[in-house]
Amino acid sequence: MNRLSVLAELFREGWRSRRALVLAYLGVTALDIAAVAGFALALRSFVHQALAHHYPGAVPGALVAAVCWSLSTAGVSARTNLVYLLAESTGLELNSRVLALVAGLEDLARLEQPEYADHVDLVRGGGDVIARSAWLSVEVLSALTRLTAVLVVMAFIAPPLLAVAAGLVPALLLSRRGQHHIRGALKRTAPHARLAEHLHHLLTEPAPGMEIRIAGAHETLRARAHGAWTALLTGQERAQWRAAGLSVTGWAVFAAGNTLALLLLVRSVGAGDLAPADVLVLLTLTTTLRTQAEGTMATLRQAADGVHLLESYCYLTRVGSGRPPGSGGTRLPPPSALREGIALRGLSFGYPGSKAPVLRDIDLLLPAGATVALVGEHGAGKTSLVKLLCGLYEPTGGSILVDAVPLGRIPAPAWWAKITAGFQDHARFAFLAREAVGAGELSALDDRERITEALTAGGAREFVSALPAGLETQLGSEFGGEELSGGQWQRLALSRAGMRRAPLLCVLDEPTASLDARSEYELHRRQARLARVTGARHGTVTLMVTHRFSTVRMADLIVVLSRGSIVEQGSHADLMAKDGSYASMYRMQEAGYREKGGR
Amino acid sequence: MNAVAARLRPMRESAAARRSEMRLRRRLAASVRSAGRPLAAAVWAVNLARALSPVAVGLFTGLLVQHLVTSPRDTGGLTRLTLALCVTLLASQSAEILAGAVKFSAARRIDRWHRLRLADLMGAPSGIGHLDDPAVRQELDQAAPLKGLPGWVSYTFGTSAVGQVVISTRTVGACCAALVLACFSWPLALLALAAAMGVRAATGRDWMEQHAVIRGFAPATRRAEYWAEVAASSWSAKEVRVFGLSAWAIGRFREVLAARTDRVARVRLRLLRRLGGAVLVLAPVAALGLGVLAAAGDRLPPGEFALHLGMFWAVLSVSRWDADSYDVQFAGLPALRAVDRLEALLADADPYPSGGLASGAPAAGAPRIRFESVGFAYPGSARRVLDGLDLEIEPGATVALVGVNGAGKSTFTKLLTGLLAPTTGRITVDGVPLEEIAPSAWRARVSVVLQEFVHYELPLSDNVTLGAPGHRPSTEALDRAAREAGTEDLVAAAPLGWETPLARGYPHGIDLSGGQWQRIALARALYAVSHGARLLILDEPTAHLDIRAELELFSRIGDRARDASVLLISHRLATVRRADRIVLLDAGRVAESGTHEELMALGGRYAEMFTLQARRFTEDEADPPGDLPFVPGPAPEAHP
Repeated sequence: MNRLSVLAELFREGWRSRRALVLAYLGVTALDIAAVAGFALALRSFVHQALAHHYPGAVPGALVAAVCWSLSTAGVSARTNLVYLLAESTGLELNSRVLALVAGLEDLARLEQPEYADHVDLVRGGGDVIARSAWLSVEVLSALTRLTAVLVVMAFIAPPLLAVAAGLVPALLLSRRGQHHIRGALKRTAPHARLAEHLHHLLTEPAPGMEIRIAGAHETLRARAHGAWTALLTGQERAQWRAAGLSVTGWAVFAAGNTLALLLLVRSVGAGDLAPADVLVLLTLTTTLRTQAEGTMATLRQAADGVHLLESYCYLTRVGSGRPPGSGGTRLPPPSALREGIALRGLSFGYPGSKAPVLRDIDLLLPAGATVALVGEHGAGKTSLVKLLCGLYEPTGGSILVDAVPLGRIPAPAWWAKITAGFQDHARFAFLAREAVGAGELSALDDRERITEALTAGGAREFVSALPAGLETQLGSEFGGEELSGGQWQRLALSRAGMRRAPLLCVLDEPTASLDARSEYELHRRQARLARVTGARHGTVTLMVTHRFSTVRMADLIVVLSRGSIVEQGSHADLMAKDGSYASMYRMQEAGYREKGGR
Repeated sequence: MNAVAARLRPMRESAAARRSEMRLRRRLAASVRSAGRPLAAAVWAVNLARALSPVAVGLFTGLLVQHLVTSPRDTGGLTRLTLALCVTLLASQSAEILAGAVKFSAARRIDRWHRLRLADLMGAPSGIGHLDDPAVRQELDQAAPLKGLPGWVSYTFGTSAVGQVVISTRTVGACCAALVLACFSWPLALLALAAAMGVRAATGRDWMEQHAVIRGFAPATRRAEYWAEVAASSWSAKEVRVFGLSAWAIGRFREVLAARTDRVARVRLRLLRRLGGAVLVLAPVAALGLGVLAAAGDRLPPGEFALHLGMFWAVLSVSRWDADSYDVQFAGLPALRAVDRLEALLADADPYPSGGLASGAPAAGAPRIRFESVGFAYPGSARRVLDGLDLEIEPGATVALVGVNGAGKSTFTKLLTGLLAPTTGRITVDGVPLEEIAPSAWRARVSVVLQEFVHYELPLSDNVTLGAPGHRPSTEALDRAAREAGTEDLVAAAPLGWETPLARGYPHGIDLSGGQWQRIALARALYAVSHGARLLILDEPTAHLDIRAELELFSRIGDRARDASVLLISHRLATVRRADRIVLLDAGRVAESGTHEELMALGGRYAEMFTLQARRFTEDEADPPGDLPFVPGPAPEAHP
């Protein structure tokens, strides 16, 4: 999608949903053009008659000029209002479309790329700005027409004055150039602006306040904030002054041309070719011309605000779902239950633009109904493997087979509907407690019984029922709700993962990292039990990623990852017998609990 | 009499409100000074020039026209007058252009001053109670008001201060033009001025009202923005896809915004209808004025006719409302009021009212800390988080604090660091009550790794030195801290070494993983220890680290912090058991205290918790008997 087609779409949208407003806007614009031209002509007649002491003859001119002037004064307000009205209605539509585009991106590796993320940050919620610029670009056209109307009247009185119009060209061009500097500075100083904002947050918000006070870092951070503001200021000010200088230069050229024209006019009055009244009229009109030209520039500036957002929007439409077009051939539905399991064949993965692969040649069978534990040090590739299994990443090589159906052939949303997950960096949804859990299965959002069951399984029932409004409690301090502890958020994430009844794959990534000993123990017992139940019924594979070896040893299959490859796999007994890296890690942790270990 | 008095009261009150608003507006205009004297002068000068330029242009136009009529052949005189007029025109145009740049510079400088003033206000109390006080948060939101508004709204405190100057000078300009016009006819001057100011006020009121509706939707809009964030952010991306939340989230987003759009559209349409009223006032006044001028044509010299025609337009154009009123009404005045209230709220926000009597230089060496029957309840809550807690931390000891989630461990840390004051009982350091020690002196002896440690979007070096910011940073000290916390590889690999900013979005900035951030926080705390901190508080310091890294780290900290006391809060009991003393908090008091062996022998809660964690390493049965209903399935495989 290119910029023009986005604009065309916006106009069509406005015409479809707000036809009366579009017509009103066009009407007001036409009236305004007529009023500007009418004012010029009526003023001329008025001044001529008045200076000729011809009172009755001056009355019609006075009346028309008065009405036209009032109309164009009110017209500015009316048009601004109509533009905002149209922008608000069409902007909502555009905002929804942006959100749908980002949410429709299937390949998360793409979303995690800085370039894509930057575009999303720019354009999310910026739909009304884009829509406003679209309607303002119409406004620019109408301003140019008004400008032309004034020029035509001036030329009608004194043809040489058209040369004055030529003086407008450098003025407008130089001021455009200035705007270019200003935008450049804005972009260059963006890191300073971001830092100033971040430091303000640190200096005034509760979360960082504790550490900053203990460390006595307030003064240092304040000095940094002052520095960031100053860097921001100097960068942007310089551009502002430069732009102002260019603009003044441009208008000086216009003024020089204007002076010459005025001198010629004065001469022709002396020669008797022109009435002094015309000079007065032309002087008034020159002011009008200048105001109109400035207004055009201002509108153009505002319209330009949305252009880079528009560019980002086009970028998002080009990326689309992020899947290579035509991949996968015919689409297949996922099986309703697993018989054999999920097989990984020569699976490799590397982040786009990065040379080193994160995973290399992974061959693995996750047997139907089994509990599988994935262990390995930081950076071993566990998280990437989880995301590949969840269909959130596209493999760069090899394939994943779900009971012999290639995952690439299953439409991503269909696969997602058949899995569930509790992620390590789970979202802390500032919803109602009921929604934060029910989001795990939207069709059961109001099913309090099922949600309570999931809360029990996730070990969150007790604290949720102690919240001020129970399931209907607003969470998160953003909206004045209850702020939960890390462990409580984690339990909610686990409960959410427990909402789906018949998943084919259940991923639990570090499910107990922030829980105390007793809660961890109870949770593991429940999860292990649930895994067996769903595994028996639907062949669900439960995949746990964890650092806690006490949990790991209970799994049917343990997979040890190191630097992107599988180094060992088997049951706890197998791997202990093998006495490899699993056994050494296990013993290290176990030592902490041995009767005479530790010190 | 009473009835009259009752009727007069609201009038008096509204007059008082108007007076107080005028005072605030004067303060707002006066705060332009914070942009620096030269810039403040420039703001006034440029805007006065803009406001008075119609009068100057009118005068020269009048002179030129008069000269054209009386002596059209005096080329020299006419040329001089033409040049003078053109120079005036250019000057007025330049003032117009410069006003933009001056406004920008001044507004940003005022913003810098205002934001730092807010930071100072929030930073002044030595505690943290005020930081999440809802009353304080609300005033702070009012003082920097841009949340939940459409993207095109960009007013700040700075633009409103300059805006107030613009509005004032415009009024002055209109009055000057009216004064000149009064030389021709004072009734006309008064009428034009009244009509223009009336329309200006009425239109302004309408626009304000309409914007107030948009602002009224700000809380709802913030919610809508949150739904948008849910649908399209990286933090929620995985859940949104796996659970298919996008259509739901977008639907909620639309629901809120569609309501706003409809409501605002109604207000906008009303405003459009009222614009007709403005035309009905302005058009007759304009026609009347032009008529009077034309009628006076006989006795009015052409030059004066031109001058007064110009002045008449100048007065009438003040009817255009000021866009700056938005800034004043919605950013400037609320911010000033909020800052006043914040100052009042924060005046006595220190946890210890005596404010800390500085007791000279902080003592060297590890402190002896005593909690003497300390009780604490958060304001407005009846629940005692701590209740009769007695505890001593001996100099140089490693004390571990354990307990279930919510046992009061983090409240304990806040009391220990003087961020909160106990409701009952007292805390002493080396025998001196905490309220008699200056907070900064005490905190210089303390170093922390908190569970929610700060991610500074600053260079790596700052992320470490901010643990002890009062000391001159040296590369050796930095390198040592990095070695001790195990981040030397990270520093070596970072594109700008120690100067690499730790966030994407800055040139050469990098994002760190949870484990890497945790090591940075540790390096920061260890840096503070090497700069004199003698109490190291570690709150879940290894939650993001794997077992190998954790063990390695603890042996290093053990070496490093030999001359400091360590308070360790952790759920990993295998880590905790190595402490000199383990303290189990339960229901806000010390339930058990002793070495690992002692507590295991005691057979209490600690022993139970430890056994639970240990059991799964030592026990053979992988699936202990559960209390969940058992659903028949294939027999669970037991692992030997």
